Amino acid sequence: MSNLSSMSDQELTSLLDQYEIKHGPVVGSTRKLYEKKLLDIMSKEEKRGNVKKPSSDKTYYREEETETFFPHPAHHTAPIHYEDFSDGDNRYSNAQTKYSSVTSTKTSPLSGSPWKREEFGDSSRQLYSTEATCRNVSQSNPSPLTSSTASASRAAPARSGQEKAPQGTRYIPLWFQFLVFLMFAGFLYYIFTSMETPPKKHFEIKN
Amino acid sequence: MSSTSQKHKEFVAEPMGEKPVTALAGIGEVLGGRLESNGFDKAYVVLGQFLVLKKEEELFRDWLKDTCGANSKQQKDCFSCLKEWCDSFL
Repeated sequence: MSNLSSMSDQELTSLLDQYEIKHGPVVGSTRKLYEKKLLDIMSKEEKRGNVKKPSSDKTYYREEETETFFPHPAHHTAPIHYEDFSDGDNRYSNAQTKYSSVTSTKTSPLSGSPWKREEFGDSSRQLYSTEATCRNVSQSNPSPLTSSTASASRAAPARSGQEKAPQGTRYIPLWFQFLVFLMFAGFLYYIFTSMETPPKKHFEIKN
Repeated sequence: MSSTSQKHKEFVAEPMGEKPVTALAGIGEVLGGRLESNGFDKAYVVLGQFLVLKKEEELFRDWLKDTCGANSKQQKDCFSCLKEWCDSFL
């Protein structure tokens, strides 16, 4: 393939159509972008041995071979959505409803006493747990299926081993994420319990 | 609770006129400077690029990332800001 930058605008346009890349007109300001896109596609094709599969920006996940195929738009936009979970305020309300049932089961084994602090503790714990959950999900597999898998595994640690096995390799192992989450939750619990004592001391001093 | 910033609301409330590129949501001083050095010195020039890219989210976000190094959140904010402005005024 000849050098992309030496091609005319029309030739680039026809190439973009050939690879079924969504595009606008090739003008001065857009040319560089489309050249880059075409380069990506062409290098991917070369790696695949020139199998002409016009899947423009589809990131290829190995899990797809073994498990169900996720729809293309959801696949590409999922990383963006889960990255959004680390910003903004909306996700807490959304994620809370999703994970509230899970975290409520989580709080009971963790804490015996702070039912008094339930409102304060639960909401922040939900926030932290959802953050950890979402972080975990974005790190491992950006798909709605594995988020439910992660939440289910969180609720029942015994079952997590079974669910881990068919999912293949992860970048960060699930047990490690689970451990980090437990440590973090334990740390928070320690802070909450330690917060109970200072007021008592205050009253003692005043009396 | 709305997830759009104050900057976004201000931008989409009126025609952009001669507003600088830093008036766009997601574009601060640093990104604005980079855009200006690439010739996109006014918001309407970025709008022009947005329209030439057919208001496609993916294309616009890639372009923004390449041109000024915007991260995912900044791309999203800028895109939704322009999109909403277009919905109202274009």
